[in-house]
Amino acid sequence: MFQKSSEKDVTRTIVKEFGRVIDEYAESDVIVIGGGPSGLMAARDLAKRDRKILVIERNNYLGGGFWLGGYLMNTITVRSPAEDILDELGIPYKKEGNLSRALGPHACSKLISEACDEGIQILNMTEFDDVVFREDDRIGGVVVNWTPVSSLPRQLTCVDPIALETKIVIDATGHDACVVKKMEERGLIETRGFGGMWVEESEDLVVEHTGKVHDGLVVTGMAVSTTYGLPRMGPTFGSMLMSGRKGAKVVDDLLG
Amino acid sequence: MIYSAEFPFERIIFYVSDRIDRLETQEIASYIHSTIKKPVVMKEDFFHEHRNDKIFESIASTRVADLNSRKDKDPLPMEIEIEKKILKGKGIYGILYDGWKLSKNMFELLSEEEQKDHIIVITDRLIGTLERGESRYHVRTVINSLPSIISIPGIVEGPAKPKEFYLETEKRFDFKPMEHEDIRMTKAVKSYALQTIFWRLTGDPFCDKIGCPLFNSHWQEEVIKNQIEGELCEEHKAELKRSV
Repeated sequence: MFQKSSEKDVTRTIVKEFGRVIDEYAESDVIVIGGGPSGLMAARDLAKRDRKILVIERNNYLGGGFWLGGYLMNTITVRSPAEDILDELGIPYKKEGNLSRALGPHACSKLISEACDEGIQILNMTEFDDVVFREDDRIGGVVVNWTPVSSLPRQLTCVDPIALETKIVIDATGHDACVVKKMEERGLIETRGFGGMWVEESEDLVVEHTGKVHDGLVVTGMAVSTTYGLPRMGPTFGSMLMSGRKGAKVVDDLLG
Repeated sequence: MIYSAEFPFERIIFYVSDRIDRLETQEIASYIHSTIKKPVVMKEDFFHEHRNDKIFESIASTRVADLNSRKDKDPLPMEIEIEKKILKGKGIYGILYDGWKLSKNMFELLSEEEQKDHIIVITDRLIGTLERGESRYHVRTVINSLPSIISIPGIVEGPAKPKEFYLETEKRFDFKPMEHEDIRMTKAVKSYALQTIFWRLTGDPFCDKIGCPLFNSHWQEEVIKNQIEGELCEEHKAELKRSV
């Protein structure tokens, strides 16, 4: 049934393509740290504007929490007007008053697919380690390593990371706000930590606060909540998509 | 503050945020004027009237970053940007401001002439304070200071509703708690304005008599009974008569 291709051909194809990606994306317009809904949405919108985008995802899979709607149940919800984005992404949904619901796996896979179709590049199983600084503490790139390295025993972890240069970094790492926290370690940003759950206020606030937090760094999604001490929103995703969209707009304006 | 036998101010100036609906400002002015017998001036949003280059940063620096501690933190860029949007008229909710810091920053914007007046800022911002002995910030209705601040959302969110209100949505109460854009808000503001004036006159804004608008209400039921339906008690009427 299948045409002939030996093990060495498979290996060479994988290595060659991976090498090409690293070579090409050692320098990009934007690196998005975190492939959850806000990161993917930002990446997709920016790629649509012909920006060169690299998404760094520490898990094997993209999508973050967008597969599930809370408590392991796979119905996701968005509050109006975020169903406009579901329409745009071709995600089927049912509207119930101000709330729309969709099947998590369907919504998530459509978002991943849309972002890939627009031309984003992805490094999964890759963990953000640090930022690259330029003059005046401007961020000029990120330092990354394989995700498994951080789980190795200490005596085996002398595995140096690599650095990737970029014009803007988007921190879309959810509550962890990994990039912002790294900046906090260096005394350049002071985060507020996230508050209690308050769906109605939190969604608006997260979108409102999405934007630049430091030269070369834009924050989207729940990382916004941690950065600014905003209430949590629970398992509803409209603001993640709209925060990603706003983040893309901010980045696009910054890139000029 | 230095208390003297002389009346401590000549004018009462209200600054009212233009983002507040359903507040009868002229009714408030007439009431305070007829009660205190001093000229009352109604002005627009305090920050519009005292705008300068640093104002957005100044307001943003009063945001409560941590509900459990009174830490000072430099505002982040989007916090400053959001203040610009708010002053352009965009309503935003869910942000808590430290009432004492806000009042202090406002005071620094007052001219020497204004510092002689009694200033009451009526705001749509949610304000809170973390007092000594308290473990976390609490939402406040009023900050008695110079300037004094009356928070419209604070009147709704500050005084607690009965526990049953949160547990039994169908349960009916013999009073209606204050709501956002409540038609009774004008009456509530009159009462809280009187509290700020008595604080300025005597150092004590409160009365322990139920039914007096100076009663320090902690529950919504008390707000209705005192700030909405109450009348100045005889003792405070006499106090006012002596002072005025």
